[in-house]
Amino acid sequence: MDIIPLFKSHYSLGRSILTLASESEPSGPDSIPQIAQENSLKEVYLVDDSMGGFLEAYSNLAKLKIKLIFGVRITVCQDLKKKNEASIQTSCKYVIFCKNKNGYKRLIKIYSEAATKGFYYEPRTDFESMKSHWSNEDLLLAAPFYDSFIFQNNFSSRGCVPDFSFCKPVLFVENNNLPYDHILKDLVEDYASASKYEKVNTQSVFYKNKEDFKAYLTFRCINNRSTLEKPQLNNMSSDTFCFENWTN
Amino acid sequence: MNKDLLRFNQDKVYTFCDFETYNLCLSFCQNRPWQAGLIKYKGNKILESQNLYIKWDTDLKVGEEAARITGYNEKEVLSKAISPEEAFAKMSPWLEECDYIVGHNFLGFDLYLLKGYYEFMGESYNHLVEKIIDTNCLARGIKYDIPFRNEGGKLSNRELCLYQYKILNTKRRRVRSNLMALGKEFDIEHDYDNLHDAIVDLRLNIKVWNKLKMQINI
Repeated sequence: MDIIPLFKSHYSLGRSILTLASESEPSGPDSIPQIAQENSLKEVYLVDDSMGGFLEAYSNLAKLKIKLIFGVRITVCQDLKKKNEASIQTSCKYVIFCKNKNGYKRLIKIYSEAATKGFYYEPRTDFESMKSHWSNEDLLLAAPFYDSFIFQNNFSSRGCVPDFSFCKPVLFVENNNLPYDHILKDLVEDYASASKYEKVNTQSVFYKNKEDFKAYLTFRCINNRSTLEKPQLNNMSSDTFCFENWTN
Repeated sequence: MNKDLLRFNQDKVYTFCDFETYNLCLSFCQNRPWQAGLIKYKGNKILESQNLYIKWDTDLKVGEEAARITGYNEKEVLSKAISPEEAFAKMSPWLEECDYIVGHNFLGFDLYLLKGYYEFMGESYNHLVEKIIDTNCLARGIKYDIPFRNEGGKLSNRELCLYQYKILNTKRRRVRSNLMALGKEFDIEHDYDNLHDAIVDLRLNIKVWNKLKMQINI
């Protein structure tokens, strides 16, 4: 079965050690466009936590004649106007992909509203805001494997109520051999078959090779102001969030 | 008496497990267990115990502070240590064959080292996850007043696993649930001065489990 690599770049602050530069620097960070070129990818799925990397990704991939499929991983809460602890308990992650130029414009509007009106520790949108800018021709909604409403409702005390009345989401499934991956996979598959939504197998890519995991872990520790001996990063045990894992 | 409830069932075999490690990293590339303590427990009786010291081919060192807390003595450990393969051969049958693996903060820490150990040995570990009982999660569940709903009185390992993850991912301030705090809270007599030795920890863990199981629908 096909697995889609979902790249994340350093524009997702503190989350990836991959850049969007046209090529990798010698003994420096790896570049997503170069990885794509070396591996003859025709398209790159880039899922970042902000819109900041779009232009660099678009222009550098266009030079290599590689199509960019851009998505933003964003927090969706029950009501973006509510800014308190209770509202955090209703929030989870979604990915919004733009399918075309109009989709990009719509995504900008959703993200801008999230980063202004909805901002509470981080940009947040809600289903009302998404609906007001939505078009199924231009945008696609996806539930990521980790931190989705399925994850939060089953593995945490949060209560996230999805509203898919305006779209038909796809559900991502991954396997990084984390202790709960197989349980979460079962839950996603059960939900997908009950709701008849499409499942897509994905592989999150935050670094190039398995051997880069230690560099990635160090980077995460620096951002977390912790150390390799005591990283205080939940679940940070798997070296599979890499492109090499996708190629295998 | 409902014999489906663990608290009344004398036939279940539990393996209590605890690792002492070089540091607190969850990744095997940066951390290894240098001591594995295991106690086989059935019907309120300790059947057997194993105290395994493991010698890894690694440059990892136990930090000064960690060595002080855990009483790590490199000379002593190395003199008793066996190879990872030998230790795994002694340890894994106990984990595989028991009905439940019990540990304190097992889901949040030890499990990741176990995962790394199984992967190191080229084995799959996922089937063990749903038979883990984490006494830290159970204690926190009680303190948070989030009860485990054991629908129909028959224990579902998956439901219990998800419940424990829910508690693990729920953080509340000023809730103390380390083994020593629980032991003292429950008025348990124990050798508290020698905690952080795997076997000493496990003996307290058993006593805490025996208190906890009476407070939840399990």
